Amino acid sequence: MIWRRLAWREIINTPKFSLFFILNIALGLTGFITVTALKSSIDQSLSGKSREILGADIAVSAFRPITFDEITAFDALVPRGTRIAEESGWVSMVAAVTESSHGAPPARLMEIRAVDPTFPFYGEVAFTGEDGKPSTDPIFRQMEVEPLALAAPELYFQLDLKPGQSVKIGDQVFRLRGTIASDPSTSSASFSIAPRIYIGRKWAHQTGLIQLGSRITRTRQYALPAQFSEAQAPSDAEALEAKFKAFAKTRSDLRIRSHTSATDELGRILKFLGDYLGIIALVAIILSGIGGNFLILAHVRSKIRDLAILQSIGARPSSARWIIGWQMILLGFGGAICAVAIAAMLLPAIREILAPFLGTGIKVSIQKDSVIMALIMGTLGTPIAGLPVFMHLDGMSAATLFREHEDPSKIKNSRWLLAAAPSIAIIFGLASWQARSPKAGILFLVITGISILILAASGTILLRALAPVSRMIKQQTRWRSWPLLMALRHTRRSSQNLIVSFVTLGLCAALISAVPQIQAILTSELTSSEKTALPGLFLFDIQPEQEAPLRNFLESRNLSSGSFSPLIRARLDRINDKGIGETFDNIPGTRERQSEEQFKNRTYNLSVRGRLTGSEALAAGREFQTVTFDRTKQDLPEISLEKRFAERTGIRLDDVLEFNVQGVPVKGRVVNLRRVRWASFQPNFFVQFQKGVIDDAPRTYLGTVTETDFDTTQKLQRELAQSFSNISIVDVKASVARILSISEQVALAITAMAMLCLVAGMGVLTAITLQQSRARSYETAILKVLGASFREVYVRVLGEAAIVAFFAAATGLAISFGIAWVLSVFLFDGAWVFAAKAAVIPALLIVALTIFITMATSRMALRTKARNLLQAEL
Amino acid sequence: MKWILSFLSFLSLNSTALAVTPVVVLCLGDSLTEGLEISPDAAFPALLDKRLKKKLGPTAEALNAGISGSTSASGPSRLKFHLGSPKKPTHMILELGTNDALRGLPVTAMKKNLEDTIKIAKENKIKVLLAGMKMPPSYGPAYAKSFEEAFKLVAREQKVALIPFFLEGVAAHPEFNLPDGLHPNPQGHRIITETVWKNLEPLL
Repeated sequence: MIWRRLAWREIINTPKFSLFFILNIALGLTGFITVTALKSSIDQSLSGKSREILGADIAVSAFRPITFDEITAFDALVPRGTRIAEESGWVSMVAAVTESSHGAPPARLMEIRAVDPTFPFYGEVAFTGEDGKPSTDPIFRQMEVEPLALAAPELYFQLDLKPGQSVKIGDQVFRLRGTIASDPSTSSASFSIAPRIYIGRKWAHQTGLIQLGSRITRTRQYALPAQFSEAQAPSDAEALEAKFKAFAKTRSDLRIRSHTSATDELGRILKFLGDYLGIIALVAIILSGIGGNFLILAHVRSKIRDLAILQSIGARPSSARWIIGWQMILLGFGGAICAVAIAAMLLPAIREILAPFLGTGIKVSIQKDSVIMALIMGTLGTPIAGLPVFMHLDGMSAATLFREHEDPSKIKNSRWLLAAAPSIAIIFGLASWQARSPKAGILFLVITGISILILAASGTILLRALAPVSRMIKQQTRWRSWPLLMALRHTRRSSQNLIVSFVTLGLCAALISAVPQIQAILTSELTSSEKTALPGLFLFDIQPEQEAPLRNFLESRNLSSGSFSPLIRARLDRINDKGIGETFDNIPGTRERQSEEQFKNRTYNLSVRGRLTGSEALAAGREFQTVTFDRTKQDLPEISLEKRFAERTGIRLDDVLEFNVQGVPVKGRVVNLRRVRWASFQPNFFVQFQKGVIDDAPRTYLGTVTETDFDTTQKLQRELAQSFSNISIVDVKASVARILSISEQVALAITAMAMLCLVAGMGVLTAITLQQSRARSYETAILKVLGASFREVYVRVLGEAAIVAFFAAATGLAISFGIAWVLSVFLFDGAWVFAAKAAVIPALLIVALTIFITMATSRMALRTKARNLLQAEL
Repeated sequence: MKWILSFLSFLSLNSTALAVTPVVVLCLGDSLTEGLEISPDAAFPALLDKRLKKKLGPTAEALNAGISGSTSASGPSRLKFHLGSPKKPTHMILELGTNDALRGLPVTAMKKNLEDTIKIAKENKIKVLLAGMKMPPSYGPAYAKSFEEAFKLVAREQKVALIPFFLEGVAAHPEFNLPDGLHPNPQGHRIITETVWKNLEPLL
């Protein structure tokens, strides 16, 4: 196998190229390995939090006993070693047991959770003991032995009790063993109006409350074995959830949740993060691929004569392919090994950087899967990416020796497409794997393909337009800087090479600039800019006649009340004069359609608002023409819909909706779709009417109160019960804080990833630019031989590089806005943010980097003797 | 003969009077009346509407004024809204209070709200049928008992008809309820309609 020896000799004989190549591959794959490692650790960190909220990996619950057959079926689906626990939950009046009480003892509604001794599987319920000090006692095990209870602080306040005293739940008395300090299972999904109290499940039946007609939630919880949870979280729980749901398809009264779907908000955040990190990893791989392909192209170009000589002295045409191919395999393998080594060295530093964001306990370790994938991609992906170049070697002959310049990029489009097909398939596969969705894979391929086409077209037009510009400058101005004019004209002469450079730089600019834009979009979606206005309490069921007195009540106690939003219950009856039932009668009934129909066939809480609030943005249409409906100017009242609600119901702009408000038909026209930033935690509604339409309809109000501490909340609750007995308070501070902290953590991780991608991108770009500059050495030598001065050659080379870099970066920047928009709309379901600063900085960096590297390499080339430069080229 | 004509004339006038004041039954309630998560045609007010029309003719009507999540506190203002509508109710089925109990609100406050609503109805010559309710045993025996008693007391004190238990034959029967175990499904609403009709018919 002579070609193997020749390939090896080639690697040894061209150390600079080999090093460059390995470095380029290593940079891209380092990005991939690092991002995968971080993705895994962030997934684990967040999965841990979501597990704490559910208390398990997966849970099955029902308002009835889960049958033996169901238990057997579910248990058979989980892997060996899975821990299982049960829980019963209900709300009940809980009475204080006090010796001195006169008459009936005080009783309050409480949420009772009867748990097993192993509770909770994840996280920890922190509590203070009877002495008021933090306790580490195995309280849930003790509950198995004695009738003990662990209660939320609200219980003590409302029943005027102290730890150590007792409460009566049904027929059973429980001693209050401590006070809950923090409970990870308090999430947005479990807003409760009743304080929580834990008891042992063994004692649940002793209360006498579990009987026919009782409303009890039975939950069976599963905690997967550690190796499952840590290795592949959260996909295992999701896969298991799908299996559970498949079994329970006909049992609609069984509720199945995995920790990722336990809260909508958290699920959405995790999905965003997964998709985003997938994109980052892909960007790193594609940049590496671009760099690698560029280097192969340059290398083949420089070695084409050697290969032609080999062929003319009797080597078979396939030998040339094997030599280059084997070279790519060896260098790619070397690059992958270096990538693993660099990633291993970088990860501890990255862990330190990310510790403040993700917690000091974060484990960042190289993933076995990503190492295998990196080795495969480096070793096999490199020659596959180089297939378009190998195609050209087929047509090579001895005649090649007599041509001054041989450009391997000149191959027929149809053959190029054929050769590029495996690379496209690999990118699609990787995109789908990384983002866990073929949709994301297709989207990414389409985006990249369109970007390349746009760049090639705009590059051709721009570069060809520059030559006439140079003529125009020469004819119509006195400016006579020949090196710059030559640089301008040269852009036309060697346009094919320059277009490849243009496309490469432009694509890098587009991808690198898109990343911080997507990051800006996601962070604006995930974090709240109105932290001071975050609600601490929600007030429900405020009657119209109570609105003003309640405001006065709150003001007199110096409590800052937010908006009071009216809630008007109404059923959607008709869309564009067609009854809901009729609208889809002629459409074949798919499950999606039926679900859509069912969703429409509901009553909604409408609200009334004049203008959009700070937590809303117009997604389509226009604002209300007037704050209040004007019968003299408008034919119909105006309606604003939440964007995702409109998408789910299939309602469009200008549709006329007819609601049944307590028997009264009310029509309105949809004039806008709103995007609601739910992270603001401000009350919001799917359907909002213009004022002056349903103002007289029966309504209640939803109010918010900000900034309250525990004592104030409890005092408020007690005073409200006396003055406004129907108004209930829900304390959302803990839930809001928990969701916000996770959102912000994700936002910070996303920002860190964007920076990492930028660094990796710049690294690859450096390799590409260096190679481009080296390619210009030949021209530098020719110009020197022809007697051009140092300055003239310098301006000529730098001018050309700057022109290409500037226009490529500008076009890439323009494309990046498109990429960010497409991804934000189709993948992240979010609002597009014009993050100009975030996008322009990477583009400027690309131009600056190109100029800087060209300057450095040109100076080096200019200091080298022309004879040496020509020798190196030949 | 003159007497016979006078008698016929009297009958005719009265039947005309009956025809121009159609029976309108206002079903003022919560999610149990609204028909949460089921088609409006399957909720008990729609089924009652059919019964009324069959018995009293097409002018008779049952209005669904159910609002999910509503408490007894909303009763007075919601009734006032319907008093101003063109279809002024002649009868009212008052089905409120369940959400008060689910939220652990004081039974005394619920009782007062129900009384206030009934008083407004009576002032407007609306015949009231109060829907009695029971709480699941899990809420605790003392609270469940006082809650159940409150409806009986209100009916007795306000001298209005009472359905002893609105969800008779439906509550605690999973086959007649949605997966939440709390809200009746269409079959459950059919049973409710029978229960309501049995108590409403004497008032018509």
